[in-house]
Amino acid sequence: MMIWFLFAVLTVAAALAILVPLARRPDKWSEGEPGEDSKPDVAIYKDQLSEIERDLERGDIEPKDVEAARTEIARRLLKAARTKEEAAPADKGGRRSLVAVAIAVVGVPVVAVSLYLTLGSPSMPDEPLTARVMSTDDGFHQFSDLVAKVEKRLAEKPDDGRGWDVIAPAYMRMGRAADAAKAYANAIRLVGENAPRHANQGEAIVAAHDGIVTEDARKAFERAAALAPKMVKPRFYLALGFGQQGKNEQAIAAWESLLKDADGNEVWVPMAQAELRGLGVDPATLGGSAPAGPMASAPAPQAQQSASGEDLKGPTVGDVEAAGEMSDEDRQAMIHGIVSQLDERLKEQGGTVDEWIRLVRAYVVLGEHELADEAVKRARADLKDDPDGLETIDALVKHLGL
Amino acid sequence: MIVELGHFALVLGLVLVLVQSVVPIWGAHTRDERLMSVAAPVAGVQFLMVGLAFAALTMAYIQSDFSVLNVCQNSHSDKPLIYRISGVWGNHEGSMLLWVLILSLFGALVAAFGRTMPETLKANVLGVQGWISVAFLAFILFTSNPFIRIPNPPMEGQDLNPILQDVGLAIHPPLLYLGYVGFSITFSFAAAALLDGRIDAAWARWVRPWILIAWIFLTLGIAMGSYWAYYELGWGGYWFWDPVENASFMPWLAGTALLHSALVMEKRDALKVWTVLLAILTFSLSLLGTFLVRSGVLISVHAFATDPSRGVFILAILAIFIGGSLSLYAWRAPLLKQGGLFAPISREGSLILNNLFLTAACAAVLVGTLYPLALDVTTGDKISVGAPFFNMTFGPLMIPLLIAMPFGPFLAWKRGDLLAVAQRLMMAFALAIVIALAVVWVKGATNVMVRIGIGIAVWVMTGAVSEIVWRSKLRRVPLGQSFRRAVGLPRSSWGTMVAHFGMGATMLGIVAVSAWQQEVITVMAPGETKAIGGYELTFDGLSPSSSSNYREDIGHFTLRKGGAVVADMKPAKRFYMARQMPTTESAIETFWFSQVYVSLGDPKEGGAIVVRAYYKPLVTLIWLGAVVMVLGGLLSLSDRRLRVGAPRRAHHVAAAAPAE
Repeated sequence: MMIWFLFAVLTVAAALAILVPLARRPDKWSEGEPGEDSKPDVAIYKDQLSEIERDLERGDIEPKDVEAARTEIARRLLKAARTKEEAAPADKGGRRSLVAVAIAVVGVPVVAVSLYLTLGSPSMPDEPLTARVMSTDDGFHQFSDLVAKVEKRLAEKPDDGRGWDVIAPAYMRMGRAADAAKAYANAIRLVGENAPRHANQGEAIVAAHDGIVTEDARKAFERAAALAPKMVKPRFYLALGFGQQGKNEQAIAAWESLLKDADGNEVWVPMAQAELRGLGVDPATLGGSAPAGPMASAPAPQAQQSASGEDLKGPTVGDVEAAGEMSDEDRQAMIHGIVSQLDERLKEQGGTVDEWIRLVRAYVVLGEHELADEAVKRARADLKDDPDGLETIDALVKHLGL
Repeated sequence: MIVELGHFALVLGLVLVLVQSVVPIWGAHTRDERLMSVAAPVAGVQFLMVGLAFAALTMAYIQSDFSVLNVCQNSHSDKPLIYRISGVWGNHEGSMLLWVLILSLFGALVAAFGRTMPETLKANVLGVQGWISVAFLAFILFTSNPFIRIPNPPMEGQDLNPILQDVGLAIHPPLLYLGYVGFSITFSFAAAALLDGRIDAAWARWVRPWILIAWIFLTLGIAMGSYWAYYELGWGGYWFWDPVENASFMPWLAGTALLHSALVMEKRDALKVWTVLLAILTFSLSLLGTFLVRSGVLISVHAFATDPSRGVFILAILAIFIGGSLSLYAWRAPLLKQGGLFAPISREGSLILNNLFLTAACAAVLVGTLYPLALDVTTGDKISVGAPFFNMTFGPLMIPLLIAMPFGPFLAWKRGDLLAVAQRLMMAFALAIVIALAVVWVKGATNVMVRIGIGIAVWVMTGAVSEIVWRSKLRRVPLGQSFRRAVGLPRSSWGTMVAHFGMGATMLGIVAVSAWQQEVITVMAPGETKAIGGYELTFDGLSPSSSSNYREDIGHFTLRKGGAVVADMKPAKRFYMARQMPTTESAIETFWFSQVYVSLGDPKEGGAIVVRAYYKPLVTLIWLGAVVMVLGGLLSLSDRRLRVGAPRRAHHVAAAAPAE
């Protein structure tokens, strides 16, 4: 309500700026002939006349030209003094003033408020950062602190491949895709290549180029696909890349082969189908794969899982876009789904330090602190043979305040 | 709430300026005193509204309110306070808001200080100023609104371009805009005169302070931008004939011509039609500059074509104002009464010469700026018109102008005596030749153009001084009397001298740097020493360092002269994390007017690094000259004749004051 009161104050001030001068009594010109000197141009010409003497004395004008100059200015002076400012007839002036008053009282508020309502968001409060950090500490800053720590360590020991491996997904999460791409490249160089690293590197490059599958990204995906032919992520992006390059036939083939291996429930399936439709192929005509029932698809996830091995399935561009369009509840449900999938997998097969960190962090972000605690315990059990890994987990626990 | 209050104030500003653009002009047309009197208070309150909007946006930046899209895209909570504030105008939306703020500032200034002007002129001027404001406020609100909110704000912003995180650039755009946009008011004066169908010598005097103010700020802004490019870009260049630079330089050339032609109009009631045209053209060039810089057309003609909404809006504004004002000019200018004729050898004749050369130079710059764009649009060929083109077109136009410059102030109005003037300038001429020969003999000049250039620069300076010497009758009358005469000279005479002297100084700097600059680009290992410009530069090593939003490698250099240490120099290479962007921070040491300039290139094996070192003789004169020109402008602005009429109207002012 306060804000509307202030709007009203501003509007009144604006209206008064118009009304006050109108309310003044018609003054000097209409009341009678003003003194000649009060006419501004007359004053200037008189000054110019007196200036001639000074000009002559300084040599700014030759003596023989003085008289001509004086006549010239005198002529201007006479002309200026003769022109009268004729005032408007009073009655018409009154009507004009009425129009102006109407503009001030009606026009200004109506136009301003209706224009503001179409453009502004009066119900949105200010959200200065300090206030927000105090009220909703969602772990974001702890997370950035953690990232900063790792960055610092990497600055001192740039050959720490595991560090790059840890920080790369964190960069992706923070939206620093170009950083993530470099971090993955370093990890590949220092720790060694594997399909997920190449695939994630490619994904980071794509994200850094606004969704375009660039030449570098394509190479990364091709390498990943060569290492793990069944892995979904590289094939997905390669297909996307074919489409972007206008290699439609290759794109169609790639999408079709990808959909053939899918059980129809994966988050990327609708996007793949949309791409196919964009290429002029109806995905429904694909033999028996896309909209297949749970029976038919049963073997698929296993095949995919075994193929992708230790794949850190980061959300794809499709996922993120899909998440953007969802309602809050749906998005929350989707994130929960992804997290519990990871949880299940780690429970059954165990995993790397990175995967455990991912899980713990995800639970903290979701506000599930008990599950996070439990995940830490399981991580410690799973990593008991890996002192480095245990240390990383300990550091994580400390920074997340678990 | 502050943000929304700012948004509402901006909308209210648009509504008020609609009133400002209609009611006073209607009043002036019907000679209705009351309607005309609406102009001043509305212009004032409208300025306050836009000011409130600007303050609200600034507040959002200071508080890192990322619920404002514009803040989110262009700020970051880690940024130092001053760059959070300068971030307000470091982006498209915010800089357009600053543009409009300055537009309404000039309106409000005319409202407040234009008391010596006739009511109809004032009403028309403020009305036309209102039209411009309407166009740009609508542009901001409908295509570039800085107050757009986002419902789920992120926790961190996306930073400002690190190259823009610089004190020089924090103050450069406001200065430049004060100049650029300041010429809007002279445009409004010209359009008002055309609307009124009346223009006379008095008009020139009313418009003169506004030309001067705009010119002063534009000069400062350009000089500052040039110095910024010099120390920030790391190549030691001070002027690149870059389209963005040209965009501010063209209004300066036209504005300088306007400054001089208005003199003729004031004194002789002549050159009226031309002066009005120049006023229109100057602001049109400002608009063109805004279009070039703001529409994205320079970055890529094709990017502009694919997302044209903003560009097309500015293009429409450009077309309407330039086309509209020129049509108005074509229609009304023949009605304006022409002033008297005059002899070619006279003060006014020399001022016309000045105008001819300045406008021709301006046209050359315009062609050089627009031709590559036109070629890109029509044929798709990409060419860049660089220094050679401008050296061949702009340069030859400047030389006769500068040679003629000292003559102008000596010539009498109406009819001058060139021979007498030449005699009076003999001393200056002789001095210039002696100094030029001496300098060239000491420094050694390989090129005849250097000798000519130094000669002309010194000639402009000695010529400017000799005007005051002659007017104060130094050595012809006793010293005390001559001193009194000098003090008694009108401030505008001093202004002329100082500004012309500054022009000479700038030219001297330019010629000296291009003739005798020394450059060493080499790989240096720690401990290595190179000689440059009579100094020895030793590279001591690199050390890393970091700040809140960047890390940097600082190079440590020791500068010695004859074995004695004269300075420690610390150029750096910075890397801004959030934008993944490197910048160079050059190190500059000033010795009198000359500078040693060091910047870093890429690091090499074993702690070595590519070093660019320059010795730049008299380089600071380039910018100091501009500052001196500005001082000249300020002196001229304080001339008593620009205040004539004010005291006599004091009683009216007193009556009007409570109402405002």
